[in-house]
Amino acid sequence: MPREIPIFNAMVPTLLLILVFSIIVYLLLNQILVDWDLDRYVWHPALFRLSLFVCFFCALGIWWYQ
Amino acid sequence: MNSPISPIKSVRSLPRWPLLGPWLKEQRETWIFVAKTVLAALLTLWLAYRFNLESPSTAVITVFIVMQSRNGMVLAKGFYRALGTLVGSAVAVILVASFVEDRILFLIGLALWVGLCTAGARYYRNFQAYAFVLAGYTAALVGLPAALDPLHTFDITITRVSDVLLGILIASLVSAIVLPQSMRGLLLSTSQLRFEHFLETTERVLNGGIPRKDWSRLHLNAINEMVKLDSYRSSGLFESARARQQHLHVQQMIAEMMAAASSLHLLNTHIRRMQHEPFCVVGDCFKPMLSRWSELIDEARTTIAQSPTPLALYARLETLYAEMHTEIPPLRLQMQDSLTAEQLLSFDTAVLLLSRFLSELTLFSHRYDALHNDRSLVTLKMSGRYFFHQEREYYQAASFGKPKTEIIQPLIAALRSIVVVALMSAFWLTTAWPSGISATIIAVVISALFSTFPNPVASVKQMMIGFMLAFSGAILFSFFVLPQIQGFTLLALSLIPFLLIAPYILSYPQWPGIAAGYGIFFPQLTIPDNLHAFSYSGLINNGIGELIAVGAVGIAFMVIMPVGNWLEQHRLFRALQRQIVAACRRSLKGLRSSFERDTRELLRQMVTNPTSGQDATRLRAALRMQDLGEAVIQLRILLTRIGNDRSAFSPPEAELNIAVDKAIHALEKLYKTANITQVNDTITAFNQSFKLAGNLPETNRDTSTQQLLDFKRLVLIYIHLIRKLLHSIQSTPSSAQQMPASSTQDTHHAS
Repeated sequence: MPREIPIFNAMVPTLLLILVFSIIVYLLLNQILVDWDLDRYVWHPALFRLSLFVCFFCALGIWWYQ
Repeated sequence: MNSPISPIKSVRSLPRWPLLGPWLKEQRETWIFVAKTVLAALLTLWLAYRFNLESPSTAVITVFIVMQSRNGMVLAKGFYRALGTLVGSAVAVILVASFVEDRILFLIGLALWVGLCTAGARYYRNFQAYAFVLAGYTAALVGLPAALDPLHTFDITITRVSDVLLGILIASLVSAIVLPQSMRGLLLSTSQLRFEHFLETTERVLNGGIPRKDWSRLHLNAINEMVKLDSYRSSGLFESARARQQHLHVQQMIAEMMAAASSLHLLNTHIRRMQHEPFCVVGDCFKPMLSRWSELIDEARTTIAQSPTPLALYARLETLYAEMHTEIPPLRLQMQDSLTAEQLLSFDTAVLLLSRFLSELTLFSHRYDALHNDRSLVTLKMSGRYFFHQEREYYQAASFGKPKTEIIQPLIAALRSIVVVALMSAFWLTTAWPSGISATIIAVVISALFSTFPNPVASVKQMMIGFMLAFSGAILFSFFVLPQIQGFTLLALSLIPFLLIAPYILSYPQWPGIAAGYGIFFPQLTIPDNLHAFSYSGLINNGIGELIAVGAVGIAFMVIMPVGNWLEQHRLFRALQRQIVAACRRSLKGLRSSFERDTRELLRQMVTNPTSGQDATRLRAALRMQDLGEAVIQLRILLTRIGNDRSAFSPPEAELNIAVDKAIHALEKLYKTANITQVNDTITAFNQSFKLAGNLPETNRDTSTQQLLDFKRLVLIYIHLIRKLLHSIQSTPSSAQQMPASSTQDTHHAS
């Protein structure tokens, strides 16, 4: 899989695009968390959210670059 | 009222050292914040070294600037700082690209941009203002070095942006994850304080009224607390989705609080009037009732201080309301014959103001309870049955986000920034001062930053002290500590005592400027860069250059149109008068809350020192105008009842409607031209409507909502209130003050 993708003739690391994608997915997940009020079951909501994001982003990144 | 467990609870909660508990709690919060800030700063520093960033000190400074006690504030400030930095950097690149050959043109462009951003910063409030400040000074921070080295413009920009973003990211993460302190607690404690103060004021009013001088002080305090509450609300938006859900609650509460406060002020004036002849008879009628009310309020106030939930205060207020309904009509019948017409009107006014205030207080305490106990808005629907309920649509949530201001203030701020930048860069260019660049940058930063502060001169002085501290700390660290150490671990350990000074000072609310000065200058002067060799003479030179810049900005704030200058005061007073015009003319929907908010906002800006004589008279005039607008709006709302059912439109009503319209129009004209000579015409117009209102038949129009007084009495009361306010304005023509021309008008009027 390509490590860099040309956007407007500039080589952009694919990781950046993965980052943007993960942020969007994270925001959607967060909205679901809030709507269903799942925060109640979490000890440390902020840490939970960060971990969620890190897990998702790293999984995508590792999968892409392996 | 209390449940049986309360005695046990009160014994158990009896502290051994009553003062130690709160003190320890406070210290604990402070030190958590200090530890978090230092942790974030060191983490940022380490990452900046690892990533080989150009200037790690910028990243550390960002941490100090962004870090605040509550997570929501950190996120909000970080977001706007990032936004401002990005915009400012883009502008810097554009400026360098356009004026690369001509440094004079470049500096002019920069000065204009900084002026524009300062104006924007003065126009908005809270962190939006901060974004403007950042956009302004980032352009200088990036643009000036880039103009000296145009080939590396892009690198310099990227460096700045990545340093700042790294700092924001780490500060946000640390603040959210390590022992998070949420916004909600602060919001609740602030609103509790406000509620307590409100009840305290209420109690004093019920016990015989508050003298006008004290009222001004209380009023200003109340406004400041509300603005604070509103800014916490807006920061809370960034924190969590739950805070976003609460945000409307808080907004609505502020609107209701303001409405209740205005009713309380009218009540205060009336209670004080009832203590003088010939109204003492009326005052005596209400004495037993008022003392009962004040007992209940007192009780509620003490229970609130113990636990944050009012013990269903609103339910008890409701019983008071019912009590009032059973007591007042027989009392009125009994008194009717012995009172003169004027005294009877005063009696009715008291009834109206009391019942109106009571219903508004009920609403406010209900909302407060809902906020604190996380009840949903649905339960609040029941509060619709309090009287005046058909006016509910005229209340709307109010936000203090964009301060109501005169365009003159942003313009003055912009002018000041432009002058500062022009002078500093002219000095730099003509003397070829080696530290000129850093001095100019600091001058831009400070003049932009402090134009948003209520008292810039004091803030600049604090900044100077912070700078002195940072300078001595920097000398100590660079000359004695830095040569002894090696490696990041030692650097971090030796930095800790120096870094914790800034957040510790920040925990004292009276010294934010010192903390900011130390937090900005200490890292800037000491933190070793990745690539550059450190020079001792450079430290001293830069330090002195920056000191001169801070001093120059301080002088500019003192000399160029200082805060509270006559032009500003004059324009603000006119803006307040235009609020009355709006109260006379604008559509009623949402008018009341916007009137309450905007007049308070203007009042807050007008008064810089409430104890000084000039400000006191100005404040008195402003308060009177607030009352006037309030009464006019109430009268207009009342008259919509005629308009709403045209089927029962009797000739006297139609006549009255026209007369009142004419009177309100005259009032509008009076305040539009600010020509005090017309006040007699306006009073005549209101006298005319008063007479017509007296001709109305005694019908009980809205028995469902208004059992105590009928429509005719209500109209009479409001017209009479307005008349009295106009008389008091007439008798103190100084309310038109400031304008040099007004003195001649006053003498003309007197003759």
